[in-house]
Amino acid sequence: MFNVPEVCRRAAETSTIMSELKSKVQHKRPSTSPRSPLQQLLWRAWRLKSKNVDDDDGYSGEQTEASDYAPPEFAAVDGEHDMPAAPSPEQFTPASLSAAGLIGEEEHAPTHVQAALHLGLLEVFWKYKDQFLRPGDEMKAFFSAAMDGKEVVWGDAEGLVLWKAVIEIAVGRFEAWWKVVGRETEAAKWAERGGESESEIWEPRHGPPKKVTELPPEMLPPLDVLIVWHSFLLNPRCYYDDCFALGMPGMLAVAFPWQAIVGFSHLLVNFGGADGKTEPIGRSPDA
Amino acid sequence: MAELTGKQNQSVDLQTLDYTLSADARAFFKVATSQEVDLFEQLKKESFSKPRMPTLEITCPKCGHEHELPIASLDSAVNFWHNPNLSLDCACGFTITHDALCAERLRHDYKQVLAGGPGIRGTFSPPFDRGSTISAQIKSHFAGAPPTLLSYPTVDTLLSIFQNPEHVAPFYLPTSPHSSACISLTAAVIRQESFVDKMHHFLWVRSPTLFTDTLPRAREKYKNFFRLFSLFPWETMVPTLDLDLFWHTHQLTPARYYYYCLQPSTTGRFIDHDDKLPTSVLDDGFGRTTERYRDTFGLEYGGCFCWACEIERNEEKVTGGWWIRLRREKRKLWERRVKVAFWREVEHRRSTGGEQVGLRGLEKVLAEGPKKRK
Repeated sequence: MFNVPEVCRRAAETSTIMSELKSKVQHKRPSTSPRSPLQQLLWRAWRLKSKNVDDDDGYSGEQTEASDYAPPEFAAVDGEHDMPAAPSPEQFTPASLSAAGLIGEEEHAPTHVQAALHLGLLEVFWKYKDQFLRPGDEMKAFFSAAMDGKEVVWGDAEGLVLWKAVIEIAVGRFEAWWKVVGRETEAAKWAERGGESESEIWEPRHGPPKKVTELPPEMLPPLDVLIVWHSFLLNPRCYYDDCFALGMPGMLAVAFPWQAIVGFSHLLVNFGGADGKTEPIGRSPDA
Repeated sequence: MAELTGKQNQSVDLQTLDYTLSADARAFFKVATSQEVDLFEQLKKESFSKPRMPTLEITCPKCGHEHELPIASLDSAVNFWHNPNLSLDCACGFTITHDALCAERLRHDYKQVLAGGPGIRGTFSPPFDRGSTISAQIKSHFAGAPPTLLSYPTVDTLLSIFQNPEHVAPFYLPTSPHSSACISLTAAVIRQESFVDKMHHFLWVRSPTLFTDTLPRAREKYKNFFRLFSLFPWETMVPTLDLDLFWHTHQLTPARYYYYCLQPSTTGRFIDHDDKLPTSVLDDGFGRTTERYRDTFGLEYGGCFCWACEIERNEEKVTGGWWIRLRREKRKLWERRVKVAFWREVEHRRSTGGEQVGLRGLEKVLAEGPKKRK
């Protein structure tokens, strides 16, 4: 789990790193304030002078330029107000959590909180995937017998085969769940549009229904199914097509259940900052 | 605003990253799908005497015989669904491949159009004007003689009737027999994984600058990114990781995303998110998007998103004479190291369950300044 990079990954050369890291444009500051030639010269000189620092922003406090300095020692937490929390619980207000409501005159980008929760959810996905990529003994025994019948030496390749098989099974489970949820949603949306006759068909070019409702909390699926739904939604054109082709346009107006995925009050409890007095993170006390 | 949900409805605990379903949700899933909530439990339940994996049923396009096929196997000599070169000989003499199954799906949908039914896949989504053209082409080409296995055996032959087969082809890639989605959802999950891995790698969710810097900047970038689509309509724009997070988050609520795209102040048209583009296209596109972005908004586009660089972006610019500046920059550098070291320690202790370090400890270290190593 613990994976915060030791050094700034600008220096790392791995195939997994996005193209932006390889790109030539790597200013760390907004290019609105470029350094003047004189400044650049000074900067170069500075970098030469302390060349250990260069390209190794290893903030580990143990190596490089920091070898001049003793590694920092932090005192243990002392009381509730001293408890560090990342992400900060204050940020999670219910108003910014839900994506439900009527489509307005002007639509906005998602809120910071939704994006932060999304990040949390992706970590949960990562953890779920990892248990199949590097299976424990029980899973190893089970899947060796189920997929081969022989004793298997488990390596990366075997883990990948297993994970792909698990997704395939999850896709079947997703199908069953999605059909039921879709039917329920259609029924609910029809009831809402009560006045209209059944013969009025919702056409693709009309766009999705404009009343967005959150997926009811009791319909929240298991993690494997949620992973499939999540990836399906990230192909918006295909999702749009399928919702109409399969007669479930109401699914387009189902908001991702941020509220159900992580309850507001729960977060506060878990981060020990229910009084909202926890130090905001990211702003250092002396700044 | 909705009531704060009770504890029983919450699923993800950001502190421990555990995902637990409420009793209601468990009951709903079991009734709706007749499956156990936990996938591994379900597999164990299905295996009566010895462990077994579920199989997929595929139907021979020629004789209609149903074959049971393992999903995956560790023995590559066996025929299994995930083998890209799947080639299964049916007793009728037909060889079933992924392409043959996909062609059967396409033939079936053509026949539906010829019988006056709904259009083929890909005609239900924007741009909507394509749909009627595609249906008309099918009807005129197959007037009186619907396609058969003999006359149109492959996807390529079936698509050759269109002037723009690339408008249809993405919706007729091989998909699982137990999925009604028009794309392979398994492949979609696998593609999405690289993003999950990157987010895990940077671990922004635990970053000290998440709410003060990373997310606000990413949101602004996302809005600007969409303006690029209207300024340069026919170019492929490649997002940076941080704005991609907002793009993804938006797509999770399709109606909101749809109407956001369509409003004139954004782009006025539906923007699809294609994660199937090859790396070469992405690399070129990224360079061009960076230039467009810089020229249009005068702002930095790419860059490093590690915690240290994010803290640095957040900092005020150092001012003063060059000598003072050098000293101040050195001090800032040290402060950044300390801050990252502190929040790394917080995350380390969170994940290993040790006693947490205190915020005042960080304050104290920063106030005392660097100490020479003894």
